[in-house]
Amino acid sequence: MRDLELRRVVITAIILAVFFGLGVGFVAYTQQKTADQIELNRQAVLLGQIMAVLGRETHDNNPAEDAFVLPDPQALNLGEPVLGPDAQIPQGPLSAEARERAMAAGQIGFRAREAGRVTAVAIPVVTHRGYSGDIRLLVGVDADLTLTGVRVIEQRETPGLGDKIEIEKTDWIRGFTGRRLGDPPIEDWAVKKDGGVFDQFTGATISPRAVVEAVEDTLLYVREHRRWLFDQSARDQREEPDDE
Amino acid sequence: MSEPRLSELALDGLWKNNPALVQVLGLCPLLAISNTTVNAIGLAVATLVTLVVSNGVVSMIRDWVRPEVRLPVYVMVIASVVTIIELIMNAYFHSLYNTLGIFIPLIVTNCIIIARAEGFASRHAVGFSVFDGFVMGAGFGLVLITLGGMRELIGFGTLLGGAEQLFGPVAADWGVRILPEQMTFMLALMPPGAFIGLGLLIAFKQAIDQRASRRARAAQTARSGEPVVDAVG
Repeated sequence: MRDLELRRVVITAIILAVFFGLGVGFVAYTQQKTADQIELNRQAVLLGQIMAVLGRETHDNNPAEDAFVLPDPQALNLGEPVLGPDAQIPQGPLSAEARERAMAAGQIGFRAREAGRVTAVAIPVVTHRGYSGDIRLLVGVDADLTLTGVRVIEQRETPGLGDKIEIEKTDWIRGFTGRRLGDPPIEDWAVKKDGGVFDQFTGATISPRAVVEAVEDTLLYVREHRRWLFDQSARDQREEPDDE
Repeated sequence: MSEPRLSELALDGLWKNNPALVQVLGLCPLLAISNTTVNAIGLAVATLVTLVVSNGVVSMIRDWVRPEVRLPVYVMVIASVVTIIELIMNAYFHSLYNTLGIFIPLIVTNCIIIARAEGFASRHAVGFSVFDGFVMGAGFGLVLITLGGMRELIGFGTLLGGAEQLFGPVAADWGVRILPEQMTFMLALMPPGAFIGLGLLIAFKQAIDQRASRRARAAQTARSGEPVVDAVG
């Protein structure tokens, strides 16, 4: 009797294991078959978003290919620098592997250039102050520290309320284009409910407030790193010691 | 094992045993995603596809699964099906994925899927199981879309707003404003509005059913020649 029970348990366990193996196998197979296409889609979406935030800038390069590792990524809530504390201000040409890691961590910006001169940068920024989870934005800033465009890359805000920050739902996010730190004055960089100049939505103040603050933070960040971001000679000077 | 009639299955799924109104299953996604018609349609379609596929798969493997381990196996089937659907959509229907993507993981939390796997698909042939998945999905979807319509109408004053996110540029002007913005009532969009709306829908269905059964009783008594009580008073 005990023997029979044991056999039954073993057989049942084997059946369970076989089904789990099959399930995992199917998922793994599908994942492997779709991975390239998903990556292509992701790249296409990324390129579209970079073009959208750099929109107004004239450029003659492909900004998606002109990626650079961001200095001081904590200031943009992008986490600890993956290239280690020594790479706070990354110097010199990066190894492919280092670039990959920075890319995976999202600590990477994109440059628009005209005749080699940097005309605008696209900077990713994350805010933890969304209504549900982090909001990830891509912010385009030109050399005059004026916003060329802002897009939401990732959000999980309430459908129908907070998700109006997305360009697909409303035009709200276009309101940033052309703004700068002095316009409106820094104390007015807030939603109207907080005494600022930016609209909130009926029933949703938290999501637009988080976006307004994140965009302001990005402008402050770009102002602080302006020389490094836009001035090629400033970057070259820094890069020299590293080339030796 | 007697196979049910398709018409009975359909009536069951759509009305008599409606997953949302009678079984009251799958409330988490139902209440969370029913604030606009377009969101509701998105989740309805995604749920329907998952139900059909998972019912089909569970029915196909029903003879090999031991009763002791059937639940873990069903959970695994459902999780795999949902993941595979998500991956395929992400790869080949990317714009649809961008809209529906957030709904897909929610489907795993919908207990109607495992309820149908356990309660129906594990005991019936593949064809019937697929059909049951379809009508149950449709019954759930119709309630979802009705609730979505109610909440959008009261909360935003519109219907089908933002339809182009789901149906592409052709749908850009499908959205219609029915109530002026000043007449909208925010509560409908909030979680309490979802509960109140679902409660009203359940009450409405009960009222129709009770009326129908009163009528049926009255007709029966009239036929059998006995005086109808109401007529005396």
